[in-house]
Amino acid sequence: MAMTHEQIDEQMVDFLYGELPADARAAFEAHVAGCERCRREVESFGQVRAVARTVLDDTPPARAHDAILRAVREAAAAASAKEVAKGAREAARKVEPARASLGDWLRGKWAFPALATVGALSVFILGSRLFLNPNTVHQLGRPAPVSEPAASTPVPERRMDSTGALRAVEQAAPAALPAPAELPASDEAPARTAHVRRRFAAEAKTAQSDGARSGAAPFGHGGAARPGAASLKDDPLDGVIGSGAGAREKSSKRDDLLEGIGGPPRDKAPAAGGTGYAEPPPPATEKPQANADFASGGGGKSKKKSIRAFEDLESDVDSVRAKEEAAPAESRAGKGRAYAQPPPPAAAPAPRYAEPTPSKAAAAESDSYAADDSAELAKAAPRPAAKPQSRVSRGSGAAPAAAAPPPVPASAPVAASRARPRAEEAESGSVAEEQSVHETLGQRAERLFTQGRWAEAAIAYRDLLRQQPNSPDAERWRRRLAAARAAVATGRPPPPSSR
Amino acid sequence: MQGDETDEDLMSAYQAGDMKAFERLVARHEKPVWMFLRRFTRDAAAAEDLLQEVFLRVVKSAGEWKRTAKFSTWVYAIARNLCIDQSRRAVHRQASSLDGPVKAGADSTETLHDRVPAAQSGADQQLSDRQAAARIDAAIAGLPDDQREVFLMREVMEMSFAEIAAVVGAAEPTVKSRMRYALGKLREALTDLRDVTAERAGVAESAGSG
Repeated sequence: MAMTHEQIDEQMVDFLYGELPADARAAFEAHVAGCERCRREVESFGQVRAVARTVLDDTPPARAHDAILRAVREAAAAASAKEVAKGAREAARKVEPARASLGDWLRGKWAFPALATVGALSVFILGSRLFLNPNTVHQLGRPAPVSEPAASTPVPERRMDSTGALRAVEQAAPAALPAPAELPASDEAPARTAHVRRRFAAEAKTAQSDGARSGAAPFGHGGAARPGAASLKDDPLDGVIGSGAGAREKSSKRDDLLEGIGGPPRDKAPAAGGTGYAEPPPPATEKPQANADFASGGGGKSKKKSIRAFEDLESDVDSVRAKEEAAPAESRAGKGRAYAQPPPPAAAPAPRYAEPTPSKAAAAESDSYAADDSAELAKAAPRPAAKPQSRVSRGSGAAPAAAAPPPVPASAPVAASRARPRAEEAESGSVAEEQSVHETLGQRAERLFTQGRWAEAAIAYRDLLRQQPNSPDAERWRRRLAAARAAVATGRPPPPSSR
Repeated sequence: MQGDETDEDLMSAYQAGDMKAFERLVARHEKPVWMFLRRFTRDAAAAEDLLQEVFLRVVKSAGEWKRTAKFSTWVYAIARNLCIDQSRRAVHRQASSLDGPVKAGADSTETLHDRVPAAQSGADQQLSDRQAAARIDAAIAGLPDDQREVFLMREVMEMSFAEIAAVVGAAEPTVKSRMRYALGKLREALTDLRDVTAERAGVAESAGSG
C-alpha cells in the first residue's frame, strides 16, 4: 500500500511503541523499507529512544526502598493504632463538634430567625398597643367624650374592680376606654350580666308594676314593655353608649363591659341576692317618676333603698362606683339620684336623668336623649338569650361603621312579649308618649349632626329611622345617617351637599 | 520466584493483610516510579520524598483500590498527581531549577569538549554517547510538563497511550501528539550534538592532515 510521508509521520509514535495494529504495521514497514526519508525518521527516533532509555534508566537510592517500607510499616502500625483510637476519636468528635458548634449553630443558623421572630413580635405588640388601643383610636379618630368621662371611664375599671382594685379605678377614671384585649374576655360576662339584668328587670317589673305605668312610657320604644326599673337599669349603659363620644366600638365594648360588670354581683346574688333583689320593688315605684321627668323627686329615697338593696350584693362595685362618681366633677348634683338606680351601672348615667328636670331641661336635653338612645341600644339587654343580646348590642353599636344594624323592631317585640304579661298597662301607656320622644329625638339628631358629633348623630338618626321608618323625614334622616356614618368612618366631616 | 503473580494479585493479598505482598509491589514499581519522579521533578531529593509518599498513599488508599483497576496505572496516577501538587507548591523553585540541568548539561558538554581529546575515534564514540545522554537528559528536563509527563509515562512506566490519556485526562490523539512533539525535541538535541561532533571530527581531520 502506498502511504504518504504524512501518514507515516502520523503513525510514527504508534509504530515506535508497538501500538499499530498488525496490518497497519505491515503497511508502515513496507513503506519505510522503500522510503529513505521515512526510514531515517524511524531510525532517528529509535536512536533518541535508545539514548533516552539509558538516560532515564535510574535506580532509586537504596535507602529509598528501606525508607518506603519503614514508612509503610509505621503507617500501618499507626493505622492499627488509629483503628483502636478511632472509636474514641469519633466518639470525641461526636461530642466535641457538638460542643464546639453549639455556639456557631446558635449564632449562625438560628440567630437571624430568632431575632426576626423577636422583632416581628415586638412590632406586633407595639402595633396592637398603638392601633388597637381604643384610647388611641378614639383620641385619634373621634371626638373624645366631653361630658361623659365619668360614665365611660368607670366601665372598664369596674371589671377590674370586681377584684377590689379601687385605687386603680380612681387613677384610671380619667382614662378613656377599655383596652380591646379586655373585650373578648368579657364574652362570658355579658351572659351573666344579661342574666342579672333580666333578673333586675323582672324584679323591678313585679315590684313596680304600678309606678312603671307612668314612668316607663317615655322610654317606651325599645323597652316599651319594660318597667322603669329596667330601662333605668339599662340607661346608664345606654347613656354611656349614646353620648359617650359616639364611638361605635366603644359603645359596643362598653356594653359588653358593662354587662361584664354585672358578673361579679351576679355571682354573689344567689347568696345575698335574695333580699337584695327583693327590695328593688320600693325603688321601682319611684323610678317611674325619675324616668318620667327625670325629676329629683325619686332621688333620695330610691337611692337609699337601692343602695341598701345592692349593698350586700355589690359592695365592692358600689364603692368603686362611688369613687368613679366622685371623679368627674361634672354633674355631681345628680349624684345622689344616680345612686338611686338599682343596678350598679345606673350610677353613672343617673346625673343625666336628673338634669332633664324642668329647670334644666334645655341644657340637659342632649344628655337625656343620649340616655334615650342608649336605652334603645340596650334594649337587647332584657332579652332572654344572653348571647344574642350581646351580639345585638354589639351589632347596633357597630352599625354606624359597617353594615346596617340589626333591626331593632325584631328584638323589641321579644322584650315586649316577655314583659307584656306583667307590664301590659305600662306598655299601653308608653305608646302614647313615644311620639313626643321621637320628635325630640329628631331634634337631637339634628343638633348632634350640626354639632359634628357624627357618631352620636348617626345613632340618633338610626334610632329615628327605626322608630319612624315611614316618617316623611325618613329620607333625609337616611341621608344624614349615611353622611354621619361616613364621617365617623373617615374621620372627616361629610360634604356640605349631604347635609 | 513469585514473579508470576500479577500486581493485582499482590495488591489483593496486601489488602488481606499480606505485608510481604506489598513489599514485592514496592520492589516492582519503585524504580519506574522513581524514574518518573526523578525526571518529572528534576529534583532528586524531592523525588526521593515523593517516592516514599507515593507508596504511603498506596497504603492509605489501599481500601479504595478495586481489583478491576490496573495497579500500575493506579500507582502512576498517584505519582503523577503528587508531582503536580508538588510542582504547584514550588513553582518558583522549579523555575529556577529548570535552568539548572540545562546549564549543567552545557557545562558538562563544555567540560567534555575541553577534556576529551577530539582526535581519538574511540573516544569520539564515547564522547558522543556521553554527550548524547547529557543532551537527552537536558532535553527531557526542558520538555514542557504535558509533553514530559507523557514521554516519561510512555518510556519509563511503559503505559499505553490509552492509559496515559486516562491518567492525564486528555484524549488519546492529544497524548500521541504530545509524544510526537517530545520525541521531536529530543531528536533535535541529538542532531545538534551530531553536527557538533561532525564539526569536531572535521577539525581533527584537517589538523591531522595539516
